[in-house]
Amino acid sequence: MALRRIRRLLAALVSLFALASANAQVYPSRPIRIVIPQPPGGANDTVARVFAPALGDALGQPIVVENRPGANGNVAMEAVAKAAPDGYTLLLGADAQIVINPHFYPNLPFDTLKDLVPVASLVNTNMVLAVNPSLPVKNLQGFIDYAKHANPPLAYGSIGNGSQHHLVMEMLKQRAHIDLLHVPFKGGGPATTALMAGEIAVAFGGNSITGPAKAGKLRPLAVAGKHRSASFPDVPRLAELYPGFEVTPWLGLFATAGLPAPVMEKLREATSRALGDAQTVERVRRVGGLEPYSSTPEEFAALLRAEYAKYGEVVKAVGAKID
Amino acid sequence: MLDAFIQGLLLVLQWKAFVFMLAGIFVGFWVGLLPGLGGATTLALMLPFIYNMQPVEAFAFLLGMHSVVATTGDITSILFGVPGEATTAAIILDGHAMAKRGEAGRALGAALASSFVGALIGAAALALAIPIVRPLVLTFGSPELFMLAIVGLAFIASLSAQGARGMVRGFLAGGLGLFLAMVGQDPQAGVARYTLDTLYLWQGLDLVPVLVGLFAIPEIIDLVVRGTSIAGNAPAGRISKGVFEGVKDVFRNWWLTVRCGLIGTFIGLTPGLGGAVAQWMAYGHATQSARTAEERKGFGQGDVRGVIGPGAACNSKEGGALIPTIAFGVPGGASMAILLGGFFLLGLVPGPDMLTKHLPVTFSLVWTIVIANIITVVACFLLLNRLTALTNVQGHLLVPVVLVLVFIGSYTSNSSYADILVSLIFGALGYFMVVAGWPRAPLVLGLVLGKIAENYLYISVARYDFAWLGRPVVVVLLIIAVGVILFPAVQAWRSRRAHG
Amino acid sequence: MANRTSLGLAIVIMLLSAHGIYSAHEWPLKAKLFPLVIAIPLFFLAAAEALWVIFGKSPTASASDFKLSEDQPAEVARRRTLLATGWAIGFFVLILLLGFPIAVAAMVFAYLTVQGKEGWIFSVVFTAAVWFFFYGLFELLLHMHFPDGWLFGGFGGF
Repeated sequence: MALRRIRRLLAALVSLFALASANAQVYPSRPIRIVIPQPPGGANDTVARVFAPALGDALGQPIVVENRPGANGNVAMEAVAKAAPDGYTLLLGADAQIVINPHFYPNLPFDTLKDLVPVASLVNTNMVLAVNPSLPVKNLQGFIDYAKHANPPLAYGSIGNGSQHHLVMEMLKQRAHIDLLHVPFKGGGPATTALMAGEIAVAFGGNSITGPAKAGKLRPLAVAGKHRSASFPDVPRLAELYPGFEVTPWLGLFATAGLPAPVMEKLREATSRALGDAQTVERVRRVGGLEPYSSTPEEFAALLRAEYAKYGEVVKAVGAKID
Repeated sequence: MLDAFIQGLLLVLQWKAFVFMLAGIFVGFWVGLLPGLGGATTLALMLPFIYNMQPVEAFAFLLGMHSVVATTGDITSILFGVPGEATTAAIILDGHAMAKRGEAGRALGAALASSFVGALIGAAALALAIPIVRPLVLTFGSPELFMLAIVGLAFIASLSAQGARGMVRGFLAGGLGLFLAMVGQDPQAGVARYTLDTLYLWQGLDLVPVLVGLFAIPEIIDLVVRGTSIAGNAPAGRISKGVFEGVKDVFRNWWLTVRCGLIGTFIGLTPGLGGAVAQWMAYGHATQSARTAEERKGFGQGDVRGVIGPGAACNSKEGGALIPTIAFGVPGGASMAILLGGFFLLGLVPGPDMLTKHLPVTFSLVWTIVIANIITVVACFLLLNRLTALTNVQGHLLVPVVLVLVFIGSYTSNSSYADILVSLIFGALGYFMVVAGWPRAPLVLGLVLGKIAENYLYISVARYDFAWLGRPVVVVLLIIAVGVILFPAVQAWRSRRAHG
Repeated sequence: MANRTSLGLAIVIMLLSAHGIYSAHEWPLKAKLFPLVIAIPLFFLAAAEALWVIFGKSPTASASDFKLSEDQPAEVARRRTLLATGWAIGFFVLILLLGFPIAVAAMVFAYLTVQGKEGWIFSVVFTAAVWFFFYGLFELLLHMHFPDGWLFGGFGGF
């Protein structure tokens, strides 16, 4: 096996330069890779880059952020699901990938709940329901009444077919018994511009809504989360009108199933240290209005199962299917 | 206003901000030179460094880096025929042809000077458009964006050879590009189209591996066939000369430079169109400046106007792209989304505040673009002799290095071997197109604009039925598109009359 | 040559667009409209080009695009083209089998000694320089992840 010898020789050379000569028994002994299911610029990416230094400090190894966009995040999830379960390859995934994608792609070559294990939840955010200010409605009830009688139906924008923004609005449609026309845009930028220009009347949005809303170019009507938003303390929650209507998009850290328990423990400890770091938390708050979200492993696992089922129903009801 | 303008300059000239800007320029310089490794990725990598900076310092750093990438991307495209960035592929056609003729110096001089002028136009647009940006961006709804994509596609006519046969081939290439743009999950019904049952193709063909293959591989093959250096048998000594000739070329074609700069600004300003279109539209416009059939044939063989046009557009689009980012917090593309993340991280909320309370910061951005470009152009001129000397390096030393850069460059776009496979396939396609005398530019236009056109057409119809066809801007754009398509015929007629 | 290649391209495009039209027929209207609007004219354009090559006279069209150099005899050009293709594909196979880090070194060295007929010492130094540039930049600085080659376990990378 001459090739093996060459490789071993090169590997020795490589480790010399990488200074990765520490004892392999102790986790972590080399840099850890966090795979991001989006290109640079997306929410997962920014959060990963904000968290990476703190997480790296807590683990004593540098964190490398690697973007594997493609197939709506399925490529990244597959890469982590099929990686060695050694804790050196992690996924920073969102609900959009973990609990929504499987319903659209029944033939995925992996199971997001079985082949990936949740390490910890990291952040969540509050979605804002906003309308174009030219719409003659001042509050949520007013909007629902107006939408009921609008003919032709009002148009709403989303960041893509099957996106969370799409599904949550479909949930609201069912709950409020209104009819709206779905207009999928390619990403949040074009959708927000269209909302400001009045091309669409209403949309759910995240942080991209904040700036224009504060400037009066958009009118926020409600937030979808468990709590009111710090950015819009006067804006009510959807659940205040429709009890139980709560959607809180989150981001979390995932590992390959079969991770040894000590490694998992170390990762969880490091994550909670990073989440407790005041500076990191402050940066997370600023970037995209995200809130740090700590939960116990049991809570997070329960949330995953509950949301998996919830989105499964919505997708079925909408009839959206991607084969 | 003037106060803030000067304050902005002083902010950038503070020693700390200035040093950070120099650091950014240094990083951006190399990122631009390396094919594949894009500006957005690097911006994301640099984000953690800005945590402890003041806003002005951070933007001097990030924007300094960003402003340089397109300029040095042009250098790689001209010298090696390998697109340094996805946005700098169009300059290859004439720029690299000039380098092969031994005129690398002149091509680089023209590219640097025109991109400098372009950057100034973009920065000026940013400064001037601030008060009027809202109506400007908001009049561009989906129907207008669809028509803009059609105008872009109309340039296929200009990028094809004259005569019916040339048009057929041009539109074949363009149609193939459009067809390939359909690969991937469709935005309306979510059907996976032509994905060959692979996850890789779900989001369609990635532009970087396609461009790298389409343009770099035929050049590599040609370099091996010739068995010489890139500049071949061009007399030594001529190569690094002509830099100032290139600069003068820009002033000789002053209005072309300005027009292409404006095209770039406009494309950058419109969120959702993407920067990769800008150079191609500018190139198409540059070919329209040919007055005779002979002049027309010179494009692709090393006409300096084919360098000036794309050069000016590539840098001016960045100033344009900043406008909606700053004014509404709506990013025009990935790089701008990351810059926006930087804004938020530092506690600045883009929007009207940037035009009132933080106006000096906004103007500091304008100045950063200007100063970063001045520094880059000066640095490049100092390095020009070294750079052009590369075209004298023997081919067999260059080929393996370029191959490594090409393969890694395409691999970095998705970290997948499939990226390299795509590059090889498009390399073969590009080679056969060159052999057959088919133009490659229309294919790129089709590929870039196909999805945009489809998405915005559906939204237009869903929102307005067919009433959108009557919107005034749509009508104007339609007239422009028809004009662009008919222009080559007018050109041919004019040159016939001039001869006849 | 140009004509035969053009014919080949046209036929490939005809096949592609025919496949495109055929596989679109079962999609919902929203998904198939655009592909059909593009693929059907594309098919006829390609057919026109093919007929033109077969029945038409010599082409006068020259695109504003680069032309391959013609200073080498046709036989030499053909051989060298195949050679270049071989190197590119060989490099790709090396990357698959050995992974990027080893393949880069192996390819550069092999190219210099075999194709460039450079001496051993020069080749080793040049290869080392390229390799350290590659390794320093992409692994150490940018922390790019390059999967192991297929020979060393797994079929990663796709």
